[in-house]
Amino acid sequence: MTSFIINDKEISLNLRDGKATLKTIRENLHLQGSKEGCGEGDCGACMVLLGENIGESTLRYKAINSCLLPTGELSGKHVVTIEGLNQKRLSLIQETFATEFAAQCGFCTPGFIIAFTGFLMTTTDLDKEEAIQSVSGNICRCTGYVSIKRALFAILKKLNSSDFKKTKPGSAARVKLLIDENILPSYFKEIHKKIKGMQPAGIPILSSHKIIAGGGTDIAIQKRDILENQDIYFISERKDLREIFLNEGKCYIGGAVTFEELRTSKIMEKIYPQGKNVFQLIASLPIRNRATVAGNIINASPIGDMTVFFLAMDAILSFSDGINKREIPLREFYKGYKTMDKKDNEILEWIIINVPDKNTFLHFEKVSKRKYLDIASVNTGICITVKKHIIEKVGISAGGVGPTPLYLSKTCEYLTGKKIEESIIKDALKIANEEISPISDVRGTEKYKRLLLRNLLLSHFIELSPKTINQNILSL
Amino acid sequence: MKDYDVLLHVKGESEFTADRAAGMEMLHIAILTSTSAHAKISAINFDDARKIPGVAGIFTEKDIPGNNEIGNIIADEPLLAKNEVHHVGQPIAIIVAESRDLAKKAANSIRVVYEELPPIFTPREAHAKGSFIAPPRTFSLGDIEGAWKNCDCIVEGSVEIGGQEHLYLETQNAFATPKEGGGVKVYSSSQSPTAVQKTTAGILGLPMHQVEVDVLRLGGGFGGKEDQATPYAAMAALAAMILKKPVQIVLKREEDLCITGKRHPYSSDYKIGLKKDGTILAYDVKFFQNSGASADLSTAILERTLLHTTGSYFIPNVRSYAACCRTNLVPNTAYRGFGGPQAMLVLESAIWKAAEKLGINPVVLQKKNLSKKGDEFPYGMKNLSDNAIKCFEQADKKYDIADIMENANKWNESHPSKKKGVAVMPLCFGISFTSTFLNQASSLVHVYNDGSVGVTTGAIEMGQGVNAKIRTVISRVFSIDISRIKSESTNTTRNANTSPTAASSGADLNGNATRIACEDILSRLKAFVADQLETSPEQVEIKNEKVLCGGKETKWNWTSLVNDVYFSRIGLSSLAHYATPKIFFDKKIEKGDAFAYHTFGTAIAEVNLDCLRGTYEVESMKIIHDAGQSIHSVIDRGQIEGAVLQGIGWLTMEELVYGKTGKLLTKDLSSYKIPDIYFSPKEISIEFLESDEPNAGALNSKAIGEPPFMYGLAVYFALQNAIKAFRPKINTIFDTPLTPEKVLLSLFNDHQ
Repeated sequence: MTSFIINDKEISLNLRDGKATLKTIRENLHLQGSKEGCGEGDCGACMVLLGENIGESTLRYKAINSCLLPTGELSGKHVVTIEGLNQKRLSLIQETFATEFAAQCGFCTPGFIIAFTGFLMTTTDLDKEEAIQSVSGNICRCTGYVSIKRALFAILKKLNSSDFKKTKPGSAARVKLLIDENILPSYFKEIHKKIKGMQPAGIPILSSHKIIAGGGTDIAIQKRDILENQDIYFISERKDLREIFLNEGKCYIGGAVTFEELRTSKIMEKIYPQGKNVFQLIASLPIRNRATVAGNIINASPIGDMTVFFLAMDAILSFSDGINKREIPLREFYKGYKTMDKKDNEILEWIIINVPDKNTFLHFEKVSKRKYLDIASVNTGICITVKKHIIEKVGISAGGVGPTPLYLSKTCEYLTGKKIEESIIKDALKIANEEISPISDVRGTEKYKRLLLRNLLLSHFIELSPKTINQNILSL
Repeated sequence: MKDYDVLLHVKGESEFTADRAAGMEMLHIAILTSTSAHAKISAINFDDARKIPGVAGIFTEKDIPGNNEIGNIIADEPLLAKNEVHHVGQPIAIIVAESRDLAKKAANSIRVVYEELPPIFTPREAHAKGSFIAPPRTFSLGDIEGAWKNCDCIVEGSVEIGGQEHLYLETQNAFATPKEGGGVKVYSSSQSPTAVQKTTAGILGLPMHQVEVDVLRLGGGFGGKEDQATPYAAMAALAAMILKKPVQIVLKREEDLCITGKRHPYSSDYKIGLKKDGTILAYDVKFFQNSGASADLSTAILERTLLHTTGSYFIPNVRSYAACCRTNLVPNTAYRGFGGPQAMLVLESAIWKAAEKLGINPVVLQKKNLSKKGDEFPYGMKNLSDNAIKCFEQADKKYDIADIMENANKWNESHPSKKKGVAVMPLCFGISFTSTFLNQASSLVHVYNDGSVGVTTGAIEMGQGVNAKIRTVISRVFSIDISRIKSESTNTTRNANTSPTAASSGADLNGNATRIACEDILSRLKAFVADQLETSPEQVEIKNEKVLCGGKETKWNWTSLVNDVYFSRIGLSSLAHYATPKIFFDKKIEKGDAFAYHTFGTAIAEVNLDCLRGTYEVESMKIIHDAGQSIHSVIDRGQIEGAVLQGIGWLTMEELVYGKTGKLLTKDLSSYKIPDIYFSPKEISIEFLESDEPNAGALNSKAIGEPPFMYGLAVYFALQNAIKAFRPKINTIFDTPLTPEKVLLSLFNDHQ
């Protein structure tokens, strides 16, 4: 039995944990405003808000693709569909979308309105770029997004003159303000209390017949049948693994930490200040709200963005089967295409990295057909320590150029102890080219992937040392 | 002013076809499709599938009571394959079960044994082997053979153009319920209810009146639901009729991508000849259209390609040859622009190369050769307007094309690894169905005796705002508040023999029919007032819901007048028919006034290219567009904005990749990418051409749906210019889409 709040009603349903929330909404709850556009988190037509209490006073909402969200995850949470935003009069967002004709065929519209409502609940800032980011997981085929942008900016402008910025995301004050500004219906005031009154989900019990799901954003696509018919161990219930902390020069990232939690983490910001922007290239906000860093590693995709980033940092993985714990370097984790050194009942509990010192430079590059919300053709990370112009230590990773995410150990070995100069870089590029074995597929031809990796490796060094590496090196 | 449909959309209350089935008990369909591109079916084993509990029926071509035929123009396409398959994804059988997942499971358990036959995938190969859908056609003007000797510069080349997935957000779907007397009612997501009705009736062996088709709205169409919504509606109807239960079919996104047709890929060869001063004298072009495995709308699309051979330009000597080449890919179909964009891309490529050879900017050639009033198109029609030139001049005056280009050049000099590119695209697009008989529409207008108004036409609302435009027509003719007016679903029992909502003509045809229906009712209202006041009807007018006589207010307003008219037993409904006047086309000589008018415009695109990564973004699109006297400029602006991005997508990131056996590899949204909000041009500026010319569109407006799609070409050539700025000596190849991969390879691959 799953008990949750759907819009303004508390309900209990007896459904399989793995049933997609979108199906539950449309088939069992008979709410037709959420649409299926792709069924794999790539369009946002099914977007809902998922609210949960964090501590005593915070009610945190996230925009989520309901097609990838297992119904079992709704337990003790608040699900908001477009119907849950409808009142007698239009909300400010609905009103502005209508005024700007920011809806043409209307199929994607509820998803956009949900996503942007979520933004106003969670943002600290009424920034235009952030507003765009909030709907970057929503695809519209009609408008060209121009009228949608006009609507978003008009709403930001209107709210700029309110006390918006004085309220904290997730606070009762924010909820009240959004009710007063005609963005949320008044029943939202009661939600925090209602959730509190609900039975909290217990700590899950690991057993061999259960399928382990992080955010489930990949399983729900690749293994839909299994997910729908098996019991699920939701890592999201492991609150103990939902943190990022520092200890003795190392940073620990929990197995339940999502991409978005990593992207916005203050600790991560110190380690990799560019991450806040760079990680926007990975998935979309609603996917980042669900997908876990650990899940990306366990997924073992040769092109996993987070994996490639942490591979460059030479991360250590810490596993537990509930009794025994063990650690293994990420570098040694993959044994071949989608095969890895992991038992079925083991959970990746922590990803551990060394906190880089002031001489260490981190950089991540990714190129895909579409810049945002796309799978990379090639990605690569670098973690390089340079002292007095000499490379003391370097880790370089590359994705999309082999059966697993690659750690370019020969290239790294060659570079270690060398000075950063053009001839050295050129030689390193040649070594890297021999270390990789890309194949032609939908993400690009072999020839392209080799050329692209060369240029992206080059861009690491251009970013690191723009003066030494002249841009004319491009002609090499 | 907010719009009725949009107000429903923002609340998620607008019903799409699948939503209309909510709460009804339905059986569900999965389709068994071919995994081979070309084969004989030697055996099919349904045994395992039939044993699955919950499977209600499995139907093949043998179960079709009528004709197993869905070809609308040429009868060459079965609903369900018989003995042979001609493309991957071709439907072979339909499986009906209690749930969609169950039906899919059953479909997966069916084993088909194929005897493989040699497939053809490229139009050039098909052409060489004489594999045609219909005989090739040629349009001519002047003396092409005699013209070359007068040319100072001749350039030859080829252009390869990729297809495009429609990616309407709502996938193909339909449901059908059996009706008394053996009939069936079909709820379809179709741009063409009459095609659904006629084809379904043919499949079921019923007269058309036994098949009622109802369409409320579509979650996007773009041409993809003009002809290709039909088979799914017919499948649901077939199953519903046999099983005597309501049956629903909703394609999953992957199925939709794999089994529905796309924009036609074209291979083309051109030869262009110019005088030293840049005047284009001769243009000889061959279009090889990749039609796919059956005709669908390919012949009509090819015709529009021929009709747009010379784009916005006057060229005195032209030969344009075009062939529908039959291949073993999914039958390609209508898509915004309908063959026009491909023709223009080939010509613009030829101009680009000619300019390169002459050492001048292509924009010089573009400007010099624009078609003016009275110039002849290769199909014999004279240009009725100078608006191609006016749009260009207005764009140049407002934005200063030379200045934009010079700034880009300066910027490029100081940025070794980043380049800007600028290009211009002049537009001239013919408006009317090229099949003349389709240029007709009907409209049924009811004025209810409380003063509210209902309208039903053949027009399908799919986001283009046609319903809002039709309501605007009613509101203007009656001079009443638009909130009084409601658009009903399109239903074949109310509007018969409707043309598809396509060719940008929905508002033109149905708006005009609606205008006539309203004028008819209005004349009755006026006659009633004149009779009561013993004056002539010419003295009576309705203005802002007030009834005036000789300019003075009377005792009536709209509602009281309507009420009184009703009590006087005068009809308050009208069914009107409209046919576009004066158009004709003689296929024997390939000449005629094929179009009611042309739509014109000019776009300037500026792009930024990151040469290190091969990635790019659109900095700006600046557009002057001729929308005539727009009925609804907000909707027209929205159509331009949307079409522009779709056009850019076609030529940049939207890439269809097929495996060696003809299987689509880009079969989901994680591999087939369409523009997202970040890819939308950073700046887009749209200004309408001031024009008081009379037009055949409703209330002197012009059609808007397709033409602005072709502004996307400006981005393509801007990108080519940026690439050239990095590699001035590059031998540019025209092979769309220009993905980041192709960009990077052309920037660095010296073998290009």
